[in-house]
Order: sequence, then C-alpha cells, then structure tokens
Amino acid sequence: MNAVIRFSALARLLHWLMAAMILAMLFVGVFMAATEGAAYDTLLSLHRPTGITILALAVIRLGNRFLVAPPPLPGTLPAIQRMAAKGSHILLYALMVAMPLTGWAMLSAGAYPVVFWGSVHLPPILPHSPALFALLRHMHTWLGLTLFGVIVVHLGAALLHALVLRDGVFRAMASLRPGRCGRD
Amino acid sequence: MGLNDIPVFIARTPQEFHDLLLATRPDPATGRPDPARVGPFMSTHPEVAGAVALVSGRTITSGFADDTYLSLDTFRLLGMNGVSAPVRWAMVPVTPPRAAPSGTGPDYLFEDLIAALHQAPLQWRLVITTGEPSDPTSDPTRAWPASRRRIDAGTLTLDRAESEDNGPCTGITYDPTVLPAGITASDDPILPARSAAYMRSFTLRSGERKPASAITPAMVATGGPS
Ligand code: HEM
Ligand code: HEM
Repeated sequence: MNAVIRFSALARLLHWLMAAMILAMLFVGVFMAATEGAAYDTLLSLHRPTGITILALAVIRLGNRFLVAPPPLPGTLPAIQRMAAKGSHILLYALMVAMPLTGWAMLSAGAYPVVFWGSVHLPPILPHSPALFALLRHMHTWLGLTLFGVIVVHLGAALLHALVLRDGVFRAMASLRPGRCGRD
Repeated sequence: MGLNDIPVFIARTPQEFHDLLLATRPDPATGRPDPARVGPFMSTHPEVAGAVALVSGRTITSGFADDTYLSLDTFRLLGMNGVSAPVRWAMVPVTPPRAAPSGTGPDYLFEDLIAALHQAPLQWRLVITTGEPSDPTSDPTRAWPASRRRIDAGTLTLDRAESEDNGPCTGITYDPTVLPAGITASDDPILPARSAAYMRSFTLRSGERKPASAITPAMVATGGPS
C-alpha cells in the first residue's frame, strides 16, 4: 500500500483558505479597534461575517481532521518537536474556534445585535450581562494576540521544515497534488 | 436613542473634536481652559467657534421636563418608494415652560423631574425634520434652515423615573449606528466615531465597580429627597 504523505485535499484547501482569512481578521481587528474613522463601520461589518464563516469552516475542518488522519510526522523528528507540533496545532484549533465564539458572545452579553449581514441577525448566545461583556471584550483582544503569537511560531516551524529540514512536512500541507498518498 | 439638548454638535470630525478637547483642557493652575490656547484654536476653527456660539446662546429651560432634545447627527430614513431621505429629529416638550424649580442642591434638576413625574406624566413629540439636497448631512455643526418639512412622528410619554442603581439604562450603550430596519446612518463622520468610542467606554465602565447613584431608588419612589 502507498504511504500517506499529504493532508487530504479538503484539509489543505481549508488550511490555506483559513490561514488567509484568519491573518486578515487579525489585522482588520487591530486596525478597526484603533480607528474611529468611517472605516470602523465598514471593517466591523466585514469582520463579523468573516469571523462567523471562520467558525463554520473550523467545525468542518475539525470534523475532517477526526475522520481523515493526517500524514505521520517523519520518524527522524525528535520527541520534543513532535510534542511542540501537536501542542501548537491543538492551540491553533482551539483559538480559531475561541476567537469567533468570544466575538459572538461579547456582542450577545453587551446586548448588541449580532449582525451577520444586512438584516440577517444571529441569536444571542449569552444573556445580557455588562460585566461579562467587559470580560469577553478583553478576552477577544488577548486571545487574538495569543493567536498571532502562535501563528508566528507556526510559520517559523513551517519554514524550518521547508527550507532547512526539507523533510516533506511542508509539502504535506503545501502540495497541489490531489491524492494523499505517494507513488512509491 | 441618544439625544442632547444643544442645537448643534461642536465639531465636524473626530479629529476636530479631539483637537478641541486638547485646546480646551483645563489649565492645572486655574482649573479652567487656558484662554491663550482656546483663542487661537477658535480663530483657526471658525466652524467650531460658530457652533460653540450657537450652543452658548441657546435658551436654557427651567428643567429637564420642558427641554428639547436633538439627534444632532443626520440619519437616513427609507421611504416606501425605496428612496432614502436625510433626517434629523428632536423630542419637543408638550409641557409648556415651567417656573424655575426651588431646590438648590447639586441634584435639584433631578429632584424637580422626579417630583413632576409624581404629579403627572410628561410628554414630548418626536419631530422628524427632512433635509433638502442642499442641507449638510456630513456636518453636525451646521443647523438646517428652520423652513424644512417637519413630520410629527409620535408622542413619548414618561410616567416614572428610574434610579441608575439596578435601573435598566446603565447596562447598555446608546450606539447610534445600531438602528432598526428602515433607518441607516448618514455620511456624518461623528456617527462611526461615537460607535467606536461608546464600545470602548462600555467596556471600561462595565468592568469596574460602580459607586451608588446620588439619585437613590428611594428618592425616585417617594418623589423627593429622603
Ligand atoms: C494564519 C493562520 C494559520 C493557522 C490558523 C494554521 C493552522 C494549522 C493547523 C491547525 C495545522 C495542523 C494540521 C493538523 O495536523 O491537523 C497546520 C499545519 C500546517 N501548517 Fe498551518 N496555519 C496557519 C498558517 C500557516 C502558514 C502561513 C504556513 C506556512 C508558511 C503554514 C504551514 C503549515 C504546515 C506545513 C502544516 C503541516 C504540519 C504537519 O505536517 O503536521 N501554516 N496549520
Ligand atoms: C477568527 C475570528 C476572529 C478574529 C481572529 C478576530 C480578531 C479580532 C481582533 C484582533 C480584534 C481587535 C482587538 C483589539 O485590538 O482590542 C477584534 C475586535 C473585535 N471583534 Fe473580532 N475576531 C474574530 C471574530 C469575531 C466575531 C465572529 C465577531 C462578532 C460576531 C467579532 C467582533 C469583534 C468586535 C465587535 C471587535 C471590537 C471592535 C471595537 O473594539 O471597537 N470578532 N477582533
């Protein structure tokens, strides 16, 4: 049987699509929270639906992750690096779910309407509670900064695999080939 | 909705408002704005100076009950024909001007309002003014001509007051861009700035312990200071 050397095409598609969306969201978020110009409204009305879409994609992605096992890491990788890879991936998944959830929850607790797009509103997921709003609004910032930090580490590791170790880990996610298995 | 009892807003943009606050900040020595800073600012910002003159020249009523409250910013109302029109609105008191209240303490205006509500409900008419194409929508420092069409859109009846303590008004924010269907924000640059600043303020004040309100629930219930 051929060895699995690549992530499934769905996993790769979602990875790169969501990488672009999440990075854009972090920059949009920081810029938006720091401006009071006309861009504030425009950016916030893009930020909300994009964030909710990320939440939906993350659910599909996690489902796919549990159904379709990823390719094994190369046997040459030391145990500590395997643990770092596993831990950071769990953190990335947790944060890509927690970010949109805190966004949705804080607007709910602040009694803001959770506008998805135009007149399409989402239901509140928490009862009205100003203290909870304040807590979640701070969490949204701190989780966002944590996510940014983990992404930088993740990017560094990916480039290490791609440029220095050249052990196939990068190609497992970056390949454009359709299947999951190698030819050999 | 958030309304104010001044005829116009005092800055055209968030930047201008920021600069105005800096120029009029109290001098630590006197506790009052420094004329050496305010003077030059006003002469280089004639729009602000004009608005401030309108605000200081307004009629001050005897209390809250006979005062007029305005939207200041411009909004857009969607008509049945699908075309939207710029509007500003005001709550105009039905109560005729009243005699000045007799109280003297720091809260006498509140005490007067509570006492008035214990006698009879107070009413305001919601008057919507529609703008013409020549009327500024993006400049809240400029009033619209008095000749514009006014629509009487209903009556607000207040039948009781509410203390801030455990009252329903402090746990929310009056974000002027959170609007019902059919009403949208105009190109007035103060609107998104208010939305952003209100969320920041709401975060800060919701995360701190609030001191007891000077207007206690007992005062509200009995109609006077206890
Ligand atoms: C911007 C947000 C990003 C997020 C949230 C993210 C998230 C993730 C997650 C959760 C995994 C684990 C897949 C699994 O084992 O189930 C993963 C794998 C991977 N990512 Fe990212 N990623 C991002 C950006 C990037 C970037 C910019 C690169 C490359 C420059 C990259 C390269 C990789 C590679 C090579 C893998 C495969 C690692 C392996 O084989 O286990 N990622 N990513
Ligand atoms: C992956 C998803 C998301 C990411 C990465 C993200 C990221 C961010 C960041 C970095 C900020 C700026 C924080 C600051 O500088 O203090 C922010 C602010 C904000 N986000 Fe999100 N967010 C996400 C999802 C959502 C969702 C789903 C909603 C609402 C439905 C939302 C609503 C907001 C709001 C209301 C603000 C604050 C604007 C302000 O303070 O004026 N976010 N977000």
